[in-house]
Amino acid sequence: MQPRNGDQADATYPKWHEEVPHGVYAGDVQKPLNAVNETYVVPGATSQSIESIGMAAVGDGNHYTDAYANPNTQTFEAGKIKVEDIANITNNLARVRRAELSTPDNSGQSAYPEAA
Amino acid sequence: MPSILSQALSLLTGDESDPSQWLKLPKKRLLKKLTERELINLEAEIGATLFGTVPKGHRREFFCLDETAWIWHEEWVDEHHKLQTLTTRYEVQQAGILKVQPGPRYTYIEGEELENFGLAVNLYYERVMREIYHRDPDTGEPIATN
Repeated sequence: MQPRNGDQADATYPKWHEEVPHGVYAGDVQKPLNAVNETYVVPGATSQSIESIGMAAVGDGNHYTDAYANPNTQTFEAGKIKVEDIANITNNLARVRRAELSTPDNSGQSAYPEAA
Repeated sequence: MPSILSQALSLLTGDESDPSQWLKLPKKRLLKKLTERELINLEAEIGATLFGTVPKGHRREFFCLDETAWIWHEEWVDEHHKLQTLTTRYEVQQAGILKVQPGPRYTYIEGEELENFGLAVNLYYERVMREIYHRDPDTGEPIATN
């Protein structure tokens, strides 16, 4: 299958266009991080979900937790999210991922096409 | 004197080197065999589940691309049976989280949008660290797995 525009950087990843069932009307897409009419609930969540962005968080409006009933799971407080925390998490993830690699992806290709 | 096992193996393989050296199981962890792209794919599978049920016919991915960026990608088939895609890139900058969409459109997210993005990042981090890297999200130390 020929890559779509924007996928030329890597025609093998992802193979979404081979998996989407063509000819099926799926309704309107959720616009990420914009207000939507539906409320999404993370599977397994017991508390009230909040309407958001096309991405939903779970919680009672003040506290949020992940879908796994893990006693060690961190609880997040609403209104306490800081850009600095996001930056730290992002950096940690990338560092942990690098640490797991034995064969670095040094193909010179981006892992994902640019959004713009 | 070589053991009977060693002799048998030498006969079978034609290799007279000490089999104890090459019969050892690798001590590398499973993830060592994966590439960065494969790890991202695994993470993206978790990322896609953070926001509830994906509508039928949709394909959704959400993942941390690198030290500075997150990707939201969604694909669906519209009423004209045409494949539609939307890719949003979130760049983590000192000034804030810059949302980049095709157009191009650039905006720093704020308010509820920023709040929810932060929550999603936290949830992603929790699950990816535990389920893929088997590490404690707080300490980064390996956690015992069954």
